[in-house]
Amino acid sequence: MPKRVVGPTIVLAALAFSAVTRAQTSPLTPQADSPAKPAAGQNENIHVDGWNRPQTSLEASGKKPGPAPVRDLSGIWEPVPGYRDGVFASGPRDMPSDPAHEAMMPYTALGKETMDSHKAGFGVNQAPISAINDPFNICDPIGFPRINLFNLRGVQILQTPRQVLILYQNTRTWRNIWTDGRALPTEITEPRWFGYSVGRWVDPTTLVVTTIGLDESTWIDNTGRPHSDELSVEEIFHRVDEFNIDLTVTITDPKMYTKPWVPLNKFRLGMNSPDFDIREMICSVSQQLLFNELMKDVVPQSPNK
Amino acid sequence: MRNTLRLSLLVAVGVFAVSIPLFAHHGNASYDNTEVTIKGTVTAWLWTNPHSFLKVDVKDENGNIVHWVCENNAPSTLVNFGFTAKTFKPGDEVTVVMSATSKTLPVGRVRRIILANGYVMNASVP
Repeated sequence: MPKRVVGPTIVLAALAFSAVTRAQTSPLTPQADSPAKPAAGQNENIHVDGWNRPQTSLEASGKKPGPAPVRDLSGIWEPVPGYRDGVFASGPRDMPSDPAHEAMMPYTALGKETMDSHKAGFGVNQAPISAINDPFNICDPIGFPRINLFNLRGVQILQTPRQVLILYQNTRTWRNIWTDGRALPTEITEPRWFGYSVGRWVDPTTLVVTTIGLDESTWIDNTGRPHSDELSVEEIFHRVDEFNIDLTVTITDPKMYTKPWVPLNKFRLGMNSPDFDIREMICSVSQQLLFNELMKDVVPQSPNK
Repeated sequence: MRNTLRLSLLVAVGVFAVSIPLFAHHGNASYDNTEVTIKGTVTAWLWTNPHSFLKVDVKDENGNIVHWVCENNAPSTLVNFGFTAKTFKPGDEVTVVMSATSKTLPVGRVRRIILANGYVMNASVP
C-alpha cells in the first residue's frame, strides 16, 4: 500500500470501528467517562441520557405509536423534535421576548412598570450579568410556571389514584397536581414557589390543571415577565397518542395583564424509552456565583443552550 | 505529516493574528459574531451550571501570560456532544475557537475546541 494512503486508511478504519462500537453498545451499558479521541475527526451530536447512553425518542426510533391510553400521562418525556427545543432562553416558544412579540404582550400599567424593572439575561430587558436582578440568578427556586417556560428538558410523570406528579430535570424539582376532586384553596395563607395545583380529566386523554397561590418573587419566564398574587395558570396536557403529549399553557393575571396570554400552544413532548435516566441539572449557589463573577462584564448574545 | 503540522500551526497563528485586531475594535461587552482563536494551556475545566468554563493560559506577543475564560454550554447540552467532566485537565494543550466579546476582555463563547491530536470538539450544532 502506498505510504500516503496508510495514514488516512487507519484514521477511517478507526472512525468506522468507533462508530460500529458505539452503535452496537447495549442501551443498558454505561459509556466510558472519557473515551479515547481518535486523531483528526470531530465529535457528533448524539443524544445521551444521564448515564451517557445514546437515546432516541420512541417515535424517532421508528416505532409506531399506539392510541393514547385513557387518563394516563405517565412516562419519561422530552421536547420534540429536539431535546433542546424547550430551553426557551429568550422567552417561551409562542411568546418570545423580542420587539415584535413584546408589542403584543397585554401589559397593564403595573405590568409594564414591573417588567421594566426586571433586568434579565435575555430578551428585551437584557442587561449585563452584573446588573441582572433575576431571582434565579442567585438560585432562588425557579418556581412555577417558569419551570415549564425555561429549560424545559426531561420530565418524568408519575400518577397515583390521587395525584399526577411531575419530576423535572431542571433544578431536579417536582410538582404535585391533585386529581382527587378537591377545589382550589379559597384563601391563600401561604404562597408557594410552585403554588397549589388541581387537575381534572375533561376527556379520556386531556388533563386540565389550574395553579394558584404562587410566590410573587418569581418570574414567569427567563426574560422577566412579571406576575402578581392573582396569577392563575392553566395547563392543558393532551395525550395525542401513545408517544406524544401536547402542552398548552395560559397565563391569567388581571393585575399584570389586561387579558390572558399563551406562552406555549400545543408544545410537544415525546416519550422516551422507559430506561432513560434523566440527568441532573442543578442550580448550585456556589457555581452560579462563580458564573456571575467570571461573566460579570459580558452580555450573552447567544441562546442559553 | 511534518508539512501538515507546519501548515496547521501557520493557520492557527494566522487566524490568531487576524482575530486580535478585530477583537479590539468594539465598544461594549457583549458576544458578537467576531471569531477569535487562541492556542494555549488548560488551567481548569469547570463542569458547572448554568454554563461550563475552560480556563486557558495564552502567551501574548510580549511573552506575557493572558488568562482566558472560555464560556461553554451547560453540561446537560455538552454531554450530547461527547464532553464530560473529564474531557480536559490542567496542562492539556488546546486551540479554542470562540465568539469574542466586543470589548478587550479575554473572555469568549466557545464554538469549538481542537485537542492536541487534532480532534475537533464542537460545542453545539455546527
